[in-house]
Amino acid sequence: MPRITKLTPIQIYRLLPKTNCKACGEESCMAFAIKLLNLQTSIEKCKPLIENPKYRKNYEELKKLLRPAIREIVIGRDEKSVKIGGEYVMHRHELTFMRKTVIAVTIEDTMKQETIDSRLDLVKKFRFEYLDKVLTLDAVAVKYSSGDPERFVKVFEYVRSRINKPLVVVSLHPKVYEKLGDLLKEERPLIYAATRENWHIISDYAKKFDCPLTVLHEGDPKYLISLANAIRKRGIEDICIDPGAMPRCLGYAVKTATTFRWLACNEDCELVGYPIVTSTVPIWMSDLEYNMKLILEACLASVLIIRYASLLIMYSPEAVTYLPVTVLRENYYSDPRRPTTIQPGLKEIGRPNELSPVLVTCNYALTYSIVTSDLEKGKVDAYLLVIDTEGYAVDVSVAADKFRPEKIAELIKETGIEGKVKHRYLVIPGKAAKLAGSIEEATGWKVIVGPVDSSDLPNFIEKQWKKLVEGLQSGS
Amino acid sequence: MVEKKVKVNPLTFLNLYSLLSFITGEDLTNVREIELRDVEVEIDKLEIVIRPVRLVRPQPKPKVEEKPREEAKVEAKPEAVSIEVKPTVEEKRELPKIEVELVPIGLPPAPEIELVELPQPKVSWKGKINTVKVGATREEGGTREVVYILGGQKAPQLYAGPHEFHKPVMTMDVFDMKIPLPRAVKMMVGEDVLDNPPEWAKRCVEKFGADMISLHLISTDPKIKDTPPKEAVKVVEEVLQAVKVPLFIGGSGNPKKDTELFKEISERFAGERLLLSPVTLDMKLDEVIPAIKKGGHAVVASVTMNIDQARQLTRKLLTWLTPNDIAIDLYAAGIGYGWEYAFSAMERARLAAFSGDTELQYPAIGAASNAWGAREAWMKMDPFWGPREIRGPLWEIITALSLVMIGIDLILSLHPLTVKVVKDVCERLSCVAPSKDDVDDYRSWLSKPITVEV
Repeated sequence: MPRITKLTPIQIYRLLPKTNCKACGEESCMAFAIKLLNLQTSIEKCKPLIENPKYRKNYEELKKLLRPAIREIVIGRDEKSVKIGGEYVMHRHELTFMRKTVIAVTIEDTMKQETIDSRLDLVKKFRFEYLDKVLTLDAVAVKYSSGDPERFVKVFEYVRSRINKPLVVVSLHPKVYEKLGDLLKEERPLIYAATRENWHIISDYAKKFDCPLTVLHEGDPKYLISLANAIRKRGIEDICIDPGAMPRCLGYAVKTATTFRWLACNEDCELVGYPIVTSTVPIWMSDLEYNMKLILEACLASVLIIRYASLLIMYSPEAVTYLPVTVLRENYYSDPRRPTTIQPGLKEIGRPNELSPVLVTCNYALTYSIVTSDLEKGKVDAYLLVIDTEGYAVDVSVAADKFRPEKIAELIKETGIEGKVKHRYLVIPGKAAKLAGSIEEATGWKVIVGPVDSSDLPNFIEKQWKKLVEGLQSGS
Repeated sequence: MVEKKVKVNPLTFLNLYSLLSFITGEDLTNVREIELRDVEVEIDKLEIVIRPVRLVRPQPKPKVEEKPREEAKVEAKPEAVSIEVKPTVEEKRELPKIEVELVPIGLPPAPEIELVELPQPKVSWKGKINTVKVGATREEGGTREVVYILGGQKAPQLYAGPHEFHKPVMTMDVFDMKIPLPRAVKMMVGEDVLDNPPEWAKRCVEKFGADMISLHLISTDPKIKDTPPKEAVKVVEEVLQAVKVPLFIGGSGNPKKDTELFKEISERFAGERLLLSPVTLDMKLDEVIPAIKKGGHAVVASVTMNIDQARQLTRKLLTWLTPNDIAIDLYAAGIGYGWEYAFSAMERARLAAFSGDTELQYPAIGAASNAWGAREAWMKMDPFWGPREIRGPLWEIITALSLVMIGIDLILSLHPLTVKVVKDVCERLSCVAPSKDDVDDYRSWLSKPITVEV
């Protein structure tokens, strides 16, 4: 059982000032304690605890108590930074995952100008609207392939001037880091990687320029951790590890990452609590055909995201590889304690006109996805009124009185749907049938009870709605 | 392998082949690969120009052009340099690429490190998944040439602890009538078989490598064709004739109609050990399950992401069935469309099962084909997001792989590529102890430039 889920709010509360000063923005110290335990705020928000020396011991103790099982590491600086790790649990249902896997797209210093630019464009243009979010690619990995450290520095400088994302330096050669020098300090990239052969030199650069460092050692978990430990003893704290996602022996990386995560989360083993940084690029060194590489890289990445990779260095030149991977990542890292909701409002499905049906649904993201998908599949043009049911599904929200007729009335006013359609008919979900009367009363619109299952909607609209529209047209 | 000491001065050669020919004293015109080991080159300046030059007779002017973008210079002081020469097949007789060593050589040796003790994870499981046999051979009273045992695993998939990878059985979906299918599926399966279930099934097994066939009798749906059970069994018969693998039989999802349908099928194909799906809480179980039991078939207990209902249902089913007759389906949502709820429900059910919850210790079914419900899978999008011919199957493949990671025993899919790729990735996942080659394979991208032939 993860340490965090064994704690009680009281254990945290007794370490707080107990003054209810509200400096943290909460009503009381107890409320703050509960939020801390739910990982919804940070200790540093408690000003007295930080500022007053008499609380120093409590602060330290609290920090220890709430320490994540996987240490949190920052890559980059300021607004150009991203956090990885900081995880507490092994399974998302145990609490929640914290920092979604960062995807770094590779640029090689041997690439032609056009190729570099097209990679940068890929990263910049990759903005996929999913529910209420925009999915993006998060970082760029610049790889040393030329054998010419000066050339590398030029490419690195070019990349950093062109894109506002944290960077990863991929090189086993110390010369690269020597040549980068102060650029390392300015940019604070993740260094990939220190190995059995070069660690004593690379780790000096990581220390000198204060960069997070990846330790790479394939095939031997014990040696990997020993190496990370040796580097830590040199005073470097920001360490990530790569057990090696060997394409032909993927089970090894999965098993090693899972074992480490288990030890860190469930056995409080600090020794292995590093974020996992690994790469799917090796699949591009195989002699598979191009399309297969596009597909397999997405496969490896998905498996590694599910099994605890905090950062993935990837190579695919095409968005099609990253799209399902970023969607999976978004889902996996969504907070299971909160139903995913979408913004209430009026959504257009297809190309609705003034005679298109107006459908009503809840703002539970899953319901919304299914309804829109069913409508799109059925090639229906419609308006969809999404009402705020606090993220509850239709049946639950009807039972819990969250599917409120007055909210529908408000939304009708707010969205100006009255000016968009000529009719005054609302189609409500079959599961909200019992509210038909009160919705008519609140809105002044006529209510048609639709099917229970949204997959029947296209058929329902084709038959019932078309008939209604014909009636409307001949009537007017 | 050639061992030789050569002193060359001054050094001007047209290309690497001629240099290497000189060093080795061999004709290398038809050599594909040259590996130099323990080579020390003592030189003042070595200039390597990488550019595609045809391997032809020496040109009149053996002058080296300088093209900044296409070259990589290595200024070697008295230091070791190693060069690998590897002509790629695509370039046939063109000058090979020169790969500069990117892994440092000659670093001062790293100090010895202290080896830490890595604790053994204290993971132990109280429960295991029941086994359920699907299909029956002639000796067993059926007509199948291959049968599968679903379940039997003792720990979650690739978890901490000593257990091996659990491979899923891959089944491909076939429908008893022509239905609207995504373009990518129609193209790959072939339009010619989409209204011919036995041929479709045959193609899935023989050409696409499906382990099993999941035959969905959706025409029996009262809202579709309302095909009577007596009629519907004909397709089952035809498919049983066409392929020799076990069958999963899917009903319409209408509890009343499925009751009639399953009764008919159970009697008609007694002994075949079909896997009948879905068996749900809103069916008249006391009417349908005894008939299924009598015919010797297995069932899929189906709920929608609800673990308590799954417990309730399996508990009820034990009134008539044994634990070896039941599989469960908690509903596998496709990525982007509720995947996280489905994933967590399945994961929790599995962890509970291994922790000793007998009501959940059943092999699990997951329909990756649900992924096609996502508009990203079938819709034409801006070309930036790639052709749906790749995007679609990828959606199903990634959904299927997420099921593999939970240890789902039987995975349903629609696109031929899904079976192929999932099996490929399962091979990769089943390796937990890497060889030296695997390690080198991983490092390869760090020691060489990546070249992509589109």
